[in-house]
Amino acid sequence: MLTDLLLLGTGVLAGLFGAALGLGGGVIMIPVLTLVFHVPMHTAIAASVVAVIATSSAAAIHYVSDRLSNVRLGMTLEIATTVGAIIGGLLAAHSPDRLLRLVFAVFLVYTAATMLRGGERKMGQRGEAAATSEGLRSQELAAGPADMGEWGDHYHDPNLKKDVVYRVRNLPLGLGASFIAGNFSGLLGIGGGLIKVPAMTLLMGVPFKAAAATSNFMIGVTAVASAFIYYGEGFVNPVITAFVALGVFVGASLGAGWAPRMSSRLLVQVFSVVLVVEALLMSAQALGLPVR
Amino acid sequence: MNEVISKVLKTGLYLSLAVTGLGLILVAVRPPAPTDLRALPIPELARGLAHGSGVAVLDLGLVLLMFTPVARVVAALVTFAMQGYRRFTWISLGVLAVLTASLLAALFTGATAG
Repeated sequence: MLTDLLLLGTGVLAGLFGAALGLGGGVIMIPVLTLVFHVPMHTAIAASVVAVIATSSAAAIHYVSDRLSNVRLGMTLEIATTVGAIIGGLLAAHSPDRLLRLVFAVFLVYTAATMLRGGERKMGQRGEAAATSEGLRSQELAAGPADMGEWGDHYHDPNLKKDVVYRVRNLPLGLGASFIAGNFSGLLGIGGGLIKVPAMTLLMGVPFKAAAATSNFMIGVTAVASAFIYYGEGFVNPVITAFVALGVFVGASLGAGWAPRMSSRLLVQVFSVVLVVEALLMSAQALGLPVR
Repeated sequence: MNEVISKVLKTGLYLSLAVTGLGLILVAVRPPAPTDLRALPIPELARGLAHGSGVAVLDLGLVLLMFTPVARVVAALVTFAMQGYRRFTWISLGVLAVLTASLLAALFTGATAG
């Protein structure tokens, strides 16, 4: 019973910090499950992948009704993310626990480095800036929505106080990046926003806000593609997964309210150190060294 | 389109989380043997539910959660078809086909494991 409550609490904290730092719950939840609760890596990934469905669906409800998510582009890229996720899920299902820990540790270090450089938002904005300097930025098209092509879209930006219209370019490259993002999502039980958002802004000319919302829109469907694999392979522990999914959902819902106030530089720095320590501990476990 | 998708996601999410919560209460009231703490293969879910198994209710909640994004794809598919967007109707069908392949793989594995 105490373990169950601790699991729920960990889920809530993962959701809270994930929302405050702009991360999915996976990078927090999986290390805690494996290092603190000694849950096998496959079970932890399965719990995370199911929890990701809950949090991304909750966020998508708002993004979709605010018209920030580009549904046509999202559906198109989902063909690549879902195929990638199935392959990632199958790879994970047949990979040894230790190898997955090592790969996850590398991903944690990548996440920490990305956070220190300003996270998804900064990467997205850098992508927008690079696209603009190349003269490729396709926002504010003179002809308005009629000029946005089949995959382009438009939304109202309250900060800019105007409608933003954009065209989508380099779709094949975007499909490639989406496949890789789906692959990592299926392999490690993560959302993959750190790959998709920069790809959409930098390669495809999608404004950051629309890219983040569209990436989130895709996460649920992508996660399901590998969740079915994990479920079928028997890696879903219903109690652990339920506590984690409910906890992360509640935490992320609460966190959405106070996230803007929390995202201080100090928090990011502290958390990056935590991620690196987790990466070291998971690597040590993978190499068979005694941890705790 | 966006309103329909938003409603489908909201209904699926709240329904699945409510069933999952109920399952957790049932499991807390009547704790199952540790050996029973594994997700039931999907074909065995109905039998588990008929026997009033808390783990089966928990599994049903998680399966409903997993089907929420699938329902979202179906909703988009129907809306695109009704609006006459042939290209995106086909694309949605493609996504649904990939998800169906994954589900069939899970059912097949579940059937053989069970």
